[in-house]
Amino acid sequence: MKTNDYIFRYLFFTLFLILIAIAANSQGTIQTPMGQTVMVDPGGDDSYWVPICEADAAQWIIDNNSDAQRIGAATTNYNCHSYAWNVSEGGSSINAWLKQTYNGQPNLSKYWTNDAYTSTSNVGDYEKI
Amino acid sequence: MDSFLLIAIPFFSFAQNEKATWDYPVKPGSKEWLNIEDYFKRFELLNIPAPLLKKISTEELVKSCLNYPEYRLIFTRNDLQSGYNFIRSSFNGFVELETRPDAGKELMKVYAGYKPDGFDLNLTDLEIGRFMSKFTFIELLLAQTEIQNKLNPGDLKELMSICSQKYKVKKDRQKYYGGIGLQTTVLVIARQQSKKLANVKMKYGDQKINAFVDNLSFDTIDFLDDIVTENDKILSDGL
Repeated sequence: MKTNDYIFRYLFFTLFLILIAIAANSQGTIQTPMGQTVMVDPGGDDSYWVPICEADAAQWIIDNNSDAQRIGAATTNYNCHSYAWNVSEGGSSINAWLKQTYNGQPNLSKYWTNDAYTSTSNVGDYEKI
Repeated sequence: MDSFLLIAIPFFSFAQNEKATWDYPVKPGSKEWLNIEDYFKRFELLNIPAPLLKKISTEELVKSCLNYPEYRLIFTRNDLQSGYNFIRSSFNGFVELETRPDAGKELMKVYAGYKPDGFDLNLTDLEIGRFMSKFTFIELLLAQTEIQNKLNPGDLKELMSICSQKYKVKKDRQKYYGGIGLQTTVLVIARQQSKKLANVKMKYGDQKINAFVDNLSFDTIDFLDDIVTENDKILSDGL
């Protein structure tokens, strides 16, 4: 059950919130709980891709009889990483596209590197993905 | 008798290739699909059966790969290459396609017929997205090193030229294609030309080019434009 829950949450986040590193015009920063600086972008001008991503996510939920629920309209303002680590913790959802790496350097992993979170390989122990 | 065999065997092989197709008899969402509890095991229902996999022509295999029902999952990873890697690990058709010597040539035949401005502006945003995603799918395949490595120099040059032309048409409709739609056309070019992009390297540095070639990371559309411009110069100089 926990495995199914993990899969559904994982796929929900990844399908619902578009997950592509795209063009950015200027960068901003946010802070991890322990004060490390994480780079964020405004997101790209890719609004014509949002409907297909939303439709595919909705169809995936049907195709897999998933319990996933749509919590709001998709946007290019933030991505799944940003939702999980920033927006859901009360951070801004504007200009908040959070890439895994930035200029080839670790970015997202700062949250679990000498910070408030630790990494686990046990799917039953996760809090964020 | 010998004469009969000489005539009959080629005919039989030809007939086999003509008939070998794969249109995914079990689709996502079907009863058979949902009967399998393990999500990842469901993908096995889409696999081409081994005997058919070896008989199917490359032309038909390309059709099957472009119609892969779970292509949508390429959008669920950090970048489109990682997305392709994921579906490749789930579907034997992609693995087989990468082994075919004529895969690139067959993909090029299909790609040549794709017109980036071939959509009606009165279509819904969803319909436009579906249209644009066809380019993403085929360009991702054409960008795979395994496929590019099997193209001869003449075909590669033609592919670079076709990509440049299509990129320019896409740029005229950049409002629709955006960075997502433009990047894969340039990926096909960059994977082939990366060592020759001297001006781009000077302007952006090796690290930026490598990051794009590896995982489509880029900061501005100008970067994509510059790669296409230098590709044109390489082609015109005959390098």
